[in-house]
Amino acid sequence: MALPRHVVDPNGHVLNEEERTYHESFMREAIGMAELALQTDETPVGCVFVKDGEIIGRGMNATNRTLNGTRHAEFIALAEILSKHPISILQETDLYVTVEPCVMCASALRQYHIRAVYFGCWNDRFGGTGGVLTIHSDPSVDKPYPVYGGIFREEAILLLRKFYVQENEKAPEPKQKKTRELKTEILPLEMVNPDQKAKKLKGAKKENVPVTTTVFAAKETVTVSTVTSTLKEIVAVDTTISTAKIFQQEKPNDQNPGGSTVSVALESS
Amino acid sequence: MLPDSCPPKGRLLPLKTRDELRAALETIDVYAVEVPARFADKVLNIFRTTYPDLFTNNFQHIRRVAKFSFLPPHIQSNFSSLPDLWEEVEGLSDEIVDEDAEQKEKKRVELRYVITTSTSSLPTRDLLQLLATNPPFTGLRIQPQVFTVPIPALAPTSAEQAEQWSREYWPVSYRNTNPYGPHPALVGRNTAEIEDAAPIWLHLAEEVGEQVRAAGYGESVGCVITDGSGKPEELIAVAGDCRWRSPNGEPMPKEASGNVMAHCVQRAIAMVAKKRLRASGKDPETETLAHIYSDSPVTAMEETAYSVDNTPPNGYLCVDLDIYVSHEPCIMCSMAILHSRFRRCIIRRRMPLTGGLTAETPETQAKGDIYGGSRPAGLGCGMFWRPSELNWKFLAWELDTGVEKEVGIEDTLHA
Repeated sequence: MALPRHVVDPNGHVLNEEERTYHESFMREAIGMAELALQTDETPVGCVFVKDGEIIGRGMNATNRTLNGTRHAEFIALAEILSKHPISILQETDLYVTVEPCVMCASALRQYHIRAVYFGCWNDRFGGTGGVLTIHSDPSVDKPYPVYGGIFREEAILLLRKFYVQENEKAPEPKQKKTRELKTEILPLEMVNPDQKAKKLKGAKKENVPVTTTVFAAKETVTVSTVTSTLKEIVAVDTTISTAKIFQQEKPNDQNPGGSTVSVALESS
Repeated sequence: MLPDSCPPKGRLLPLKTRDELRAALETIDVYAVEVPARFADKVLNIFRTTYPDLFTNNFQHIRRVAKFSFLPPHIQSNFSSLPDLWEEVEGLSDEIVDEDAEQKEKKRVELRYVITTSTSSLPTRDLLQLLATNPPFTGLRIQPQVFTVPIPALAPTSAEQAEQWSREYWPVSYRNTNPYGPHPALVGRNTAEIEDAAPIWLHLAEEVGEQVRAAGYGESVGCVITDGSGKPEELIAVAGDCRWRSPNGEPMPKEASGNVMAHCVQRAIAMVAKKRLRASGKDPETETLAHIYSDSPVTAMEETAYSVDNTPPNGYLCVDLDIYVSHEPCIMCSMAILHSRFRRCIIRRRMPLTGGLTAETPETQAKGDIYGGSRPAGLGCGMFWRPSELNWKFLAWELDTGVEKEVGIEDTLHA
């Protein structure tokens, strides 16, 4: 499966074949952990921490088993790492996780000075690295870290869907989910977090709502043809989009120091 | 630094939500028209019938008809009031010309200032034309006096705020409601429920913080979890910070942030989970690497709270529980509280550089504290009440003792 086009490094560099293979191999390991979680009635989120091309910690969600709502995959893997290594190892370590880290984990990772985070799908309920909040890059006493989203996004979503058609007996009032069906169709929309966009559109009163999304974070320049082809891809999958405007921001940020950001405003009808 | 030997005295202040603070920043420009008092309602009616679409409910919090003397002084001085002219046209000046000044003052025409609509929704010209062709301006040589004033765009969320706005902008009325946070009645009820015991729990939280610091395990930060849903209130868990406690249980060198997952809030939540496992007859020590989180008691105080079986086995996470923290929890711990579905959170001190609960920012505090007192600007996360973005919300307070007390830890620390 090809890596989505927007998985670029903070310098706007689109990953080459070799780099893709490298990151995909670790995301594949993370997905393996998530599948394990699903088999044991845990929310299927899995992760691996990687230093110098080697996995130094593995984790899967364990909130049901432990009755502890904070036992996320990242915390489980971090405990494994800290049982063998000094804390400082995390400064040279990358995280691969199937679902975007939540606000809690995003903050923990920043306090531990993680090097970078690669994730599968966005978390529009409590994502901390762009899904809901941007804990990785907000003003803080700790240095920011780069995040890359969308690696095997469809598989990560499908795993979550499989879980949500199961029943959570630990919940105070287990919801009847027998009638739930597993949907397997996933929109190949990569540039916009579809759930977030849907929420925005639903909550809006006006008919035409511009949805601005960052397509590329580029340090140098982004060719117009790249942007155009990406836009075609978006417009093709979302027929409600009537117009798309491209604009460039020269606003540097933590993730993109000294660089410019190319964004598109999509008007949905 | 030793904590006070007795619980701090003070009152609980509900934390302000992000939306409340942002709402307080918004103002809109509106037209105020000067008319004699007996014409005020007429002018408003004319406006209502002519522009029904513009006569919105958006100004329900604003006194649409205000007396000159009730206006803020700086607004008064901006208004070029024309009482003499009005007296003339009202036919009053002749009658009182011979009387003394005091009498004259009494009989002066009472003027009112009527808020019509926002300046952005109607050109001044149109408003002037409407006024000129209707009483009291019809056939008079007096020109309608129309002023532009900024008013708060949204309703105040407290009586104090309404008072302040009335001093700064325009007379404002307060209804006991809050669209941008928990309902005042709910907050009032909960404050009353916890205010007596809160200083005691916070004192306990500080004490355990001091104990772990003295032991070299962590910073002087601590928390207490209680079950306040029944009487008497139950003490569920006590935990101090253990960021400087190594995997083998010894104090370790203080480098970088230490073990972030052993912040006191994380430890206390883990202890609640383990108590629940124990109560349901399961082995609480299921996690093989649990020692990394320091999720077992490390002080006598922690052990005392942990050893009591007082959590119902059917409980879910930390639903219905309250958490008292010596310092505003960092973003990680604030989210852990949210994930755990706590009911209420009470903090002793703010941590403006690292805290995740409070909502004030330099922007919201630029004009001074709209609620009185001095609440410092922080990161503005306000994570306890962001219902449209996050999947849980809870009530939150800080203890106001009236005296600035040392934070006791580095201000760049994550509590």
